[in-house]
Amino acid sequence: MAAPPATLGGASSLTASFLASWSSEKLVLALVVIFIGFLSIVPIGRLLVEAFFIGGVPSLNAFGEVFAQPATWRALRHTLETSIGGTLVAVVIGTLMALLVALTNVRGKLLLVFCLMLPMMIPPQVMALSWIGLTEPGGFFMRSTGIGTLFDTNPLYSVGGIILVLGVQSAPVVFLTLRAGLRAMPADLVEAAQASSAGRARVIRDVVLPLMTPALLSGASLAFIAAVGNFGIPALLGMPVRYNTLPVLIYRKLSGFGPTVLGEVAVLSVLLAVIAVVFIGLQAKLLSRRDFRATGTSATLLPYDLGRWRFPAECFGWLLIVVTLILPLSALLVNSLTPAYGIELTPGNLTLNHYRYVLFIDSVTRSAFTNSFFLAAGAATVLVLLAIVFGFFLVWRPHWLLRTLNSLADLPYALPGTVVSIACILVFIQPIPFTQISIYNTIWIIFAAYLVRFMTRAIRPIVNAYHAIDRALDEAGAMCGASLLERMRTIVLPLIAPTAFAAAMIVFLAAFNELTISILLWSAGTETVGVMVFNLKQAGDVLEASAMSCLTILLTVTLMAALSAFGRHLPSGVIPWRA
Amino acid sequence: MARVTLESVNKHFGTSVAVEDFTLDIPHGSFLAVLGPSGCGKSTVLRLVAGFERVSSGQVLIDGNVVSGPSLHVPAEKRHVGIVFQSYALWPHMTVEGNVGYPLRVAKVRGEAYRSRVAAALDMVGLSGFDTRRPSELSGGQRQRVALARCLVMEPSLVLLDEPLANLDVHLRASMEDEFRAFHAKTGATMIYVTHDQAEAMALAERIAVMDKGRLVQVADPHTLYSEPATTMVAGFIGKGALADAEVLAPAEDGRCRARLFGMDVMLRCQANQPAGKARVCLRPEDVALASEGVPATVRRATYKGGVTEIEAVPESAPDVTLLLIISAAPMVGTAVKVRIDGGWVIPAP
Repeated sequence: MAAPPATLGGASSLTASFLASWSSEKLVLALVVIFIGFLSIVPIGRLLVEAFFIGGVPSLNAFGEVFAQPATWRALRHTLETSIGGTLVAVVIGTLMALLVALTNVRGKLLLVFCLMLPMMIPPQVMALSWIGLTEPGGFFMRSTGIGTLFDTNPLYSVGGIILVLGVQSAPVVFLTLRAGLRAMPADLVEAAQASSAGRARVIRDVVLPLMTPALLSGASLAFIAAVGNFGIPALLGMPVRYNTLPVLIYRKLSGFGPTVLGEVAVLSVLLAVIAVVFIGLQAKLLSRRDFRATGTSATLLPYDLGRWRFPAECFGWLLIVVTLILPLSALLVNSLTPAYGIELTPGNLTLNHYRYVLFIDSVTRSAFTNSFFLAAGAATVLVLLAIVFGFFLVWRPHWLLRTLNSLADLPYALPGTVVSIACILVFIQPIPFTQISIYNTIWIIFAAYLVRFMTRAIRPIVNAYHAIDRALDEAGAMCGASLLERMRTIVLPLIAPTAFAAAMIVFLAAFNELTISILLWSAGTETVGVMVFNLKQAGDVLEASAMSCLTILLTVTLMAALSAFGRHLPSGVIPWRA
Repeated sequence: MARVTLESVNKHFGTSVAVEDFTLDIPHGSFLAVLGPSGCGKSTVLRLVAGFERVSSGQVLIDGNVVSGPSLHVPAEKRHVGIVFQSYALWPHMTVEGNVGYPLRVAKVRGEAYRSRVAAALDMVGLSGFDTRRPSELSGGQRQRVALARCLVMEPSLVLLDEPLANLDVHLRASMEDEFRAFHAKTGATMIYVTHDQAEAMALAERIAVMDKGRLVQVADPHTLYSEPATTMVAGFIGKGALADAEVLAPAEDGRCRARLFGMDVMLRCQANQPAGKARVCLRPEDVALASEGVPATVRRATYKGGVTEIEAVPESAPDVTLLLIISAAPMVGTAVKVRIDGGWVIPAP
């Protein structure tokens, strides 16, 4: 019954078909490699050239000029003090909550964790606006509690205010890394300490926390790098009192003087990048000094029974959520429903006018929603498709070039967003080579910057998903005679689809809520939602800004909840807040 | 039918050598087992023939056509080679019918022809009526049968099997072995079966290629492999027995030679060109027996095997050698016995 070996015909037909199939595979690969290579190398490289070369000659003169200005030194100091302060706040909140959730038997952990994670997904400018609404002396909360009379001006417009809100925003990152560490901690190490008759507090102090040093350090450094690159919070809270961090200084220079100061802001953004890189290096050095490798069976740690302390512990956890999340967001909601600034909200005068205005009446805010939606959906689609092809080759056809690109793709996300923006301006202010087309001052430069920035957020989960798939599934398809494209369509895509979908949602959320990049790249007509919220606030239209913010929060929470519900079908680590 | 030829094939990954100077001709319709310890390169040989890996040097030919060479590589999807994977490699998002029918859909076989060929393949592996099940609803044995049916439906002239029984329960293996034998008989396809289990290889294959550290050590039928191992590695890897040092006293005559072993003069089997001198000898349980005269030895262990007893005896003159004997009535452990040497194979000098 053996069939005639039709496909094993003459050697010449074999050669021909081999050339056809292999070259299409190579063509796809080459395109993806060039694209990812361009996105991950060219902008950052161009920025370095701008900062370290003058007229093609290596020179540090640009740095000399920038450091001669006192404003540079002030912004540097401000960046460091707010970032370090914010990180400390984040570490305290994140650690307490991680210990509470991972090591004790408090109830309602699912909801608690969801609320804890929210600040991570809410955009910084919205977070800052919420807090401003809460602490405004003439606002609803300060007035109704009577605290408002203690202040002449909003106390949040200060170093302390920036540190507080940065800390709240970064706490989820610390919480997540620490909880992941606690989950992976071998239970027998704790049991050995208990067997040595150490009490709970001693076990936590002598065993748990020391073992958690790597998790804590990496959580803290993630929080620090996010704080260094944060624009929304220091801009909204610091600019009214002329307190500029580096990203804010770059924004002020660029919006005040335009592309003429590009050289100067390039140096400033390299400075910003250096802070991030130095800190990552410092963390690696600290970790290499001691051996943190835990040995033993990594059974899940049984939660401590808190006994009669459980209720107070739960109260503490929820109190923290109320103060850091629910109160500020309520203030935002109240503002968005108040008829006019300075008027007290009552059930009678509650209005949806601001929502109607931003969604249907004002053409600028309306187009901001369309712009952000287009940018986010476009970036998500392009990046996920790119990642699916890239992951296929990286995991199943390993090659040093692919591995190098894989590491390089992380760079634009590890560096502050401002750095990516400036790099993209430098690349795209000139027309695209061999054409007369310039995408500077169009929406496409924001799109390009989003591709650069969020590339790794699509690549990472999809590459991990490939690692979890048996390579033989693709090989079995090849054995059946299916070409690469056919296997992609019928085998690879269905297997990778759940992760790809989640990755697309994550990129969409991140891009839709983005401000740091678009604030430097927008022009009339290409405003994003983030830019609009910022501009409305700066123009004093706080109520419209609040309405827009509430809409973005609604979208964010809806998508997060949908993803969480979908999460059971996903490998762990795909959804950031479930890590 | 297909004939597979590997000519001086080398394969290295970076600096590590997986397959070295591998030359082997596998005739039409034969059933070859590639046997070796884990990490010996046997799976790499299979992947080279399948087209999943490229050769570093040398070439692979199928029916006289070069499919892998230094400058040419026919990809797996153009080779029309059936493969049964260790992990079964069934697609979880397709039904049994979807998995088995995939090669036909790729080849654009539709309608009645498609349905009847899928049904025939499922019938052959005894899974009729399982069409709409998902792989996750099947047992390990059933999954392997689906994988076999997927292979069958392709009507390949060459089938590669990569440790197909490694993930199955012991009691399922015998029935799957029957399945493979039936597959071979029905299709007449050339089969290459990679395994680390010598019993499996012996039971299934007409010829066995033993590999060690990336090299082909010996290719022979199971009987020759057992009775005339080419190296000490093969002697130790295939079957049971003991290895001992001997002195060949005179060159071979008619495939036998006189040798001094454990201080006694004995006749051993050997290669026709075996010279005199020092040599290693492989003694299978059939080559030794308890007797009134022979090599003085001590019984060190006795294991009852049901009907017979396997005993280990250590000769007084060679305390590092453990002779294995199978007898019906075993002496007590610690007893002094005499062991008669009836035969033995002189392992050729490397």
